Amino acid sequence: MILPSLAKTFFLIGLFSFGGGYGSMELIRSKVVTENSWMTNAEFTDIISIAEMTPGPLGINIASFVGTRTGGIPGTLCATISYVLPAVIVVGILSKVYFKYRNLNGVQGVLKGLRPAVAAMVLAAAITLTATAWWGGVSNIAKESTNYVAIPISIVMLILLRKKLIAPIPAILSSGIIGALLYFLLGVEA
Amino acid sequence: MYNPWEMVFHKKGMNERKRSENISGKRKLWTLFKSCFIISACTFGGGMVIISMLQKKFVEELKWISEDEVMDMVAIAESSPGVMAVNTSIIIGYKIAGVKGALLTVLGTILPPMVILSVISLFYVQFRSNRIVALVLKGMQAGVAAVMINVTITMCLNVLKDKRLSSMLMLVAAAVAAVVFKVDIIVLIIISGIIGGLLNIRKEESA
Repeated sequence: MILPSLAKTFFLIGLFSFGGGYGSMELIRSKVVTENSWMTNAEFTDIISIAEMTPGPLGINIASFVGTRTGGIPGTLCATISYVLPAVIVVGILSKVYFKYRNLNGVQGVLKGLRPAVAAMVLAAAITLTATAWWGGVSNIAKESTNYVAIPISIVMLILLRKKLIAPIPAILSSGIIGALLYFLLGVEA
Repeated sequence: MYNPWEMVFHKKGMNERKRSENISGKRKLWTLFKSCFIISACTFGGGMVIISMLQKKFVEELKWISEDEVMDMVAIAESSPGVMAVNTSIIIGYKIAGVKGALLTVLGTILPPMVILSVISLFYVQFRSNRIVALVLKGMQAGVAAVMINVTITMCLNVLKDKRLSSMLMLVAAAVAAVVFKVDIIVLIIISGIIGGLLNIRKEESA
């Protein structure tokens, strides 16, 4: 039965998602790709591209995609509802605390303290996703598997992003178009 | 049953509740759901964008929530796990129409991405096997890598800017634990939360 493991996994992801979409990416990836093999790293990257271009937060996009793929419509409902359930509970508890004491210093102290760890988790996600784009995966890093189209595109986009000359969505879109053209001209199979 | 939400908005919400009473119950619920649905379906890009849209709708347009209450709501939403946009909509829904309202706003917010991604999921295999689509998605992987590296650089620089040895050590230790030792991310979050929280409290006491 897929539904209980979907429910459990997405409840845990929902409960421990801190630091926004990028901050929770490694948590989602480790549970969905590494632990449960519900999708591959390449597919995970596809969903990030798709999620950037469709409305809605990454967590919900991933929950809905994985839910539908593994359990059809019941799977979608189960994964997505499990994902938002912890938020409903915690928001309720924190509201009570907040309006009683008029501050959330304890919680915000912990969140501030988490910041270095969140940065580390974003770094971990970046390593995996960059290795997927450049070599087809972390375990694949070798001279023969190097993608000489992806590396220059990533570097140029990174420079443009750092100099704030381009926003993330146009950066991903233009990488898609330029990459597709180059792969097509060079006869590379996807 | 004791309801924590009751005292939360009881006092603060009275005036607004009176003001919005002239809209009949059912229509109010429908407006709540519809507003969240439309905002969620039409907003691209992160949480803060959605929050400014929610503010525009519920504070400026409908006047169901006051400016001060929005600040409180954002503080709570930021401190809760999960998605900012969903957390904010939960609080707005409850404030305006109780538990029923909270359920409706959550549903309105998650329904558009849920439907879109389910449809994409159903057709993903056919979609992906189209040669052009596959090449574009492959190209996009390079862009996603660039975006991720960029976010990583920004976040790490922010941590290093504090010039606190403890933050730097934590960053390195957490990165090694996650990348090299493949420590479970949830375990990592719990341990870092405890250490980071304690360090922060000590710093505030000594300050």
